[in-house]
Amino acid sequence: MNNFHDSQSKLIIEDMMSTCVITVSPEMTMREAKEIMRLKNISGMPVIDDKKKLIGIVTIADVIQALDDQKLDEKVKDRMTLNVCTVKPYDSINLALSLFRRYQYSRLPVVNDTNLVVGIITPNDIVKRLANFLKLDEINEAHISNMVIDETHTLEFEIKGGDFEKAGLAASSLKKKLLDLGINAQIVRRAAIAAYEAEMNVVIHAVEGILKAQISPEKLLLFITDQGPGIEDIEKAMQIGYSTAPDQIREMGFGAGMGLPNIKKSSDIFKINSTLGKGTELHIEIFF
Amino acid sequence: MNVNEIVKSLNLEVIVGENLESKSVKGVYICDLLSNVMAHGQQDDLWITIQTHQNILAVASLLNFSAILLPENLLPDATTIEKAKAQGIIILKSPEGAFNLAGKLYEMGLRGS
Repeated sequence: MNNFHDSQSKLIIEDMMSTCVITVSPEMTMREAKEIMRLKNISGMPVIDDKKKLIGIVTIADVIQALDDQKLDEKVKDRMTLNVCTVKPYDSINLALSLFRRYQYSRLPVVNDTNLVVGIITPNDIVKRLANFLKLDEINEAHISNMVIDETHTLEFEIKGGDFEKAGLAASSLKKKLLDLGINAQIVRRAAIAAYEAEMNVVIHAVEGILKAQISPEKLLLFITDQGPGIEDIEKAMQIGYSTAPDQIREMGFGAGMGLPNIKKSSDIFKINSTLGKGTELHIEIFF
Repeated sequence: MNVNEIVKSLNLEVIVGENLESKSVKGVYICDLLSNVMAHGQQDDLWITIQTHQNILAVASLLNFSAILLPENLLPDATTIEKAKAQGIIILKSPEGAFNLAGKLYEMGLRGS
């Protein structure tokens, strides 16, 4: 959190604005503008002249007024809002926040010193970036942490090679999260098996790795990447009973050559990529 | 059937575990290869294994086993005991071998999947 406070005063609009701006021409009709807003699911658009300079803004409120006046076929230039409140790319985020708070704007066009539209910023842009900041903080602080970000739940775990003490923690946390979200027990079982085997592969074979889980309403996505020796022959590694694990690992009950086949069996989609001397990447999907 | 009934009739030693009556047992699984256990063990299984290191706890917890039973008087590592306590996982032991234990459990009406 300290990082964030330190950087807050230095954050400028340019860091958070969206540069992909949907604009309209003043010669367009209000009916056309309404259609663009409907299709793009937005509530307002900057109006620019042929030199791309900002001359106004047209919003849902303008469309409703035109509808009420039965003037939807009039041109945007005759119905748009003039005197647009704008910000500059180098203005502070604090300025945008205070404008949003004071005037309840849903968006602010960002213009440069010659009044060209270079971006747009919404309260949502700021929230998204803040969420990112917070997430980064948590990863730095905790050896193993799990966190909830937005609608899709994302969990991320660092896995250390040879660390048998923490081995299984990622799979256990993922299992708990899935159960908390009310996912069916049989699916949770498959997810637990896939995550556990993938985690153990990193512990047994690699130097270190990351297990990332994304839980959306439709499916669980698991990405496991490691820095390690890589797999020489993936086809062989996928065969039950094939293992390169050393003897002391086998004595612990691992290295039976069942890890990857178990993962594949538990997944709906399973992809593996490996570079010898670099590492291995797994992509696993389990549908709900 | 619950864990306490099995402890009584097989005369098992409880190394870690409380409220044994509340843990139901529906089947038995015997294997020492953890990946094989992950693939085939079922919820509420009693698991007989000679593995004693702490990774048996992750397996038991991920698969919702009712208890871990160590044959041949095997003792878990100290860290395994400590962690089992923290995670609420039951560990039992017996001087008998897995084969005899399996036979007795079979006679009690338990089956593998």
